[in-house]
Amino acid sequence: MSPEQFAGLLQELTASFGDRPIAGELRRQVEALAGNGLAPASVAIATRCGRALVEANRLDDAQRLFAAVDALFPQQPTGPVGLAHVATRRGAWVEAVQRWDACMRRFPHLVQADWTAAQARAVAGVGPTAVGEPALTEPDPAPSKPTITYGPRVDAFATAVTTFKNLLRADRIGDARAAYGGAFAMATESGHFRALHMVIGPLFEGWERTSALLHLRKVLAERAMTFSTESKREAAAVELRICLSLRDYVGFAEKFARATAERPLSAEDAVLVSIADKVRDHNFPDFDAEKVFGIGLSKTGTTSFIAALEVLKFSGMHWTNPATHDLFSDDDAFLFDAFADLPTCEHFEQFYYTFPNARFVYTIREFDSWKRSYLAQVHAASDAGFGARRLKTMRADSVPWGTRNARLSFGMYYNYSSIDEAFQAYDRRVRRFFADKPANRFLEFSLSDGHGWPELCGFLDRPVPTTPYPRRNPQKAASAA
Amino acid sequence: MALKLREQVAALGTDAGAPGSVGVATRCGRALIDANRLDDAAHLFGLLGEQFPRQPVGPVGLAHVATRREAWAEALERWDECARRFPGIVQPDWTAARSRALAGLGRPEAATPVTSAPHPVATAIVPATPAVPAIPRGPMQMGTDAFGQAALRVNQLLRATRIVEAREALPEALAEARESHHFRAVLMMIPPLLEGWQRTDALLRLREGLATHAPGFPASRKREGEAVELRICLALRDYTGFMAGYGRLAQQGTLPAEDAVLGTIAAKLADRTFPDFMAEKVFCIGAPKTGTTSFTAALKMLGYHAIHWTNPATHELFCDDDLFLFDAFADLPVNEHFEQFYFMFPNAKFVYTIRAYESWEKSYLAHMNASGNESLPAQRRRALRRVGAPWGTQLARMSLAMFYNHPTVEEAYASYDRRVRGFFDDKPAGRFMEFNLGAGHGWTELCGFLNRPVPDLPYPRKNPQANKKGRGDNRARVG
Repeated sequence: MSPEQFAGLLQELTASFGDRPIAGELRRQVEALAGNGLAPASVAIATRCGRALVEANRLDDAQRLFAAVDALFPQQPTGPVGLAHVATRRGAWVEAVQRWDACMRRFPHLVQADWTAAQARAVAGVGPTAVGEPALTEPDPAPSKPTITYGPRVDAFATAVTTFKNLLRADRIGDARAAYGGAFAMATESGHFRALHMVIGPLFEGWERTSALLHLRKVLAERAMTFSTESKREAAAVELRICLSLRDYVGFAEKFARATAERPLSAEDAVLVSIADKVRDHNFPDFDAEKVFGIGLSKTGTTSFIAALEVLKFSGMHWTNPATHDLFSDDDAFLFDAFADLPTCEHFEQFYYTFPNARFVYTIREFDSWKRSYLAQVHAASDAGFGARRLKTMRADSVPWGTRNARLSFGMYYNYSSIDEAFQAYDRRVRRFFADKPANRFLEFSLSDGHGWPELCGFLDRPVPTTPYPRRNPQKAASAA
Repeated sequence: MALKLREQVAALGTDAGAPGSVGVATRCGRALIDANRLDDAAHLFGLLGEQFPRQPVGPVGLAHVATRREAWAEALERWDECARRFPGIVQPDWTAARSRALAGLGRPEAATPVTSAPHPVATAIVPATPAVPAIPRGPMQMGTDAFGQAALRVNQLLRATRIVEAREALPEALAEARESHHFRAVLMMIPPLLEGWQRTDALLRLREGLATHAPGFPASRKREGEAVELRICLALRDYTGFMAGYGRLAQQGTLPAEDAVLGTIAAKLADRTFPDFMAEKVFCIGAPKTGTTSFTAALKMLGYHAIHWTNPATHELFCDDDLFLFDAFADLPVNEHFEQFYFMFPNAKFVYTIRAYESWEKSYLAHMNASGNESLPAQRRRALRRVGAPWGTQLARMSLAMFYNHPTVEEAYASYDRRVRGFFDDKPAGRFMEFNLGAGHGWTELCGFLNRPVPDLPYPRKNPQANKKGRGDNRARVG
């Protein structure tokens, strides 16, 4: 299909919508595309058009359109996802399962919760007799042949991990915990264990977390014996991370020396090196270190702030400990130099008194812009969403990092009647606390007021780098606005 | 002195083998050392060592004599002999003298593993009798069986703040544990000695040992064993396991008073509002030695499940996990970040216990007796020395923030006072109260603030003389 044909198809289909509310808008958009059928925007338009067709139950047209999109834009998930939706809508369950599998195989990084939900529906639709590998593989062209060639239909582990990551993203923590077991059973490679370790922090707390870590460590040690040299190296890094999760600093230091005796860890595990430097220092835990705490709320440029501090050679962490994927806690204060985001705000007063050489940077942002960004982040369209979010957090199984996260969210946000009030209360808290403290321990830092390297480096006594001040997620705020 | 000794010697009569004679001879020997009559002292202590070989008095006296003579090599040898022969009763002054001898020999670095004096905070909080009360309840006396010996050693090392050695001695105590109260005693030893994974690991071993020996417990001890298992669950934050086990245990009837705390916690965990952010918690945020113990007792009388310093089920220092398991909290760990609690529990109330500064300082210094004359920066250096301090990083963190990071005790107190007042300055009156026993505050003020009826009993006064007793103070007297 040529771009012209594609444009023609879009025109034809949008014309057929008649007076439906969506029609006028879509027609305008298609016309705007005229003569430029392969513009990236056309994918979005085609997607909306295709969805409208599915909703209108014009499944053949939808299929035609999505097939065309797939042919012209093979790098985009729109085509295969649309076709999978069509198959699901038709109740063609075997086809639907295959199509969803294909989507996940081709776009593993883009998997959405609705994909896995639809796939689950399709699997259920296939029914008990057909569930299992044979029914879900491609039709056998020569049925007389013995059916012994079925391999895993996709990377089973990847699918399982995707499932629970999506559940996690949808805040269905209880379900995700259940799915963790399934993924665990399929873990065979060192990378699988790395992926599993990453989700233990958000999924489990207390003893469940400890026992999940111990179990992971045990199974990893058993499997690692059969690993290749390269995989063994990764397994050793995962084991080091598990030590940190268990707060086994003695074991970590010993194993680190062994793991790095012959060659260094991979770049992916560089954070372990910086932690090892801290843990093995004779001053560990060092209360006299020059820590930097970024104590602005989320969405005040905290990510950029940590990136900036890393440029200045501070080892930084933002929200979670990158080695353990646990929310920042007091123990992490000894493992890194710089910290930012909500968990750091929770009791900055304590850090002020515990670390006499620590400095505090209050990243701020104009309230209206901050509020838009915050609401976009928590997917709350309005203040009403704020209330709903609060109720949700009260249910134990509905937030990652469990009670620790709930504690944080209540203290910082949800105990207030509105997000406005929460923001003001925290602002007052910070300003009042630092009002009578020495100026060299506190800095207000506002990117929107033009602050940058000179202010930060002046405060921290560091030379100004030649690279520009990092700007992370700048367009998130814009798109929310 | 001479008269008194003569009287005592006369009282002994001809029965020089009587146990009392050891005490008399010891005093006599010390007096000789003080009078610098070192030959006479050496003669006496030599005889004591021969006559009472199972008592440390003789060798310790000889070691002191050698130290006084500055015969460093001999002194070192003698102190080492003391520690070897009487490992369970090593005293801080033994290790201090040994370090002095090492320094005299020009080997001060070899002395570093041994604390020259007790860790100041440690003397304040190391339970003088953490596990000790639990042990004699068993059929045999402490020290007479293998477990008793091992437990005694751990506790004595702990009391001497020789944490590293106490840690090393712990596995032996665990290996010798056979009976339910043994496991209970080991559970109490773990929190001040171990943190992080080492703590978790010790708890897992304890649980394993308990599971091995529990089938052999006599029927009368089965419940105690199960209660210990529940405490281990809590220490591991295994609330699911705890609830399951508690359900079984509660079916067998009321728990003994000692384990009533498990029922309290089970009630909180079973409540459908758990973790309850709306609860009306009470935080006592006064500094240590401002009547926090009395305050905790008062709140208990008002029906609150109040804890002071540690969680009574796990014996760990209060931490954020305890917030949802109890109603009221007091002492140093609460001071650490009360601001967070204020915002986290919108219905919580804060009571700031205070006391006239001079009186507080006297009490605080007596409490920190071992180093009363040491400046805070000096105490800080000692606290940071990596010889191992009880309650590890957690206590170091809070004592630095509260005391040692300040130049003087006065400034530490004033700084915290400013912090509290500055914070509550613009907060509603219904959430904050100053409470000063010295200014005559009591039930009326407290109950008015908390909206509770005034009890018929007088307001409790715990350790009113704590500041006069000094050195003998133990952890139970904190606050």
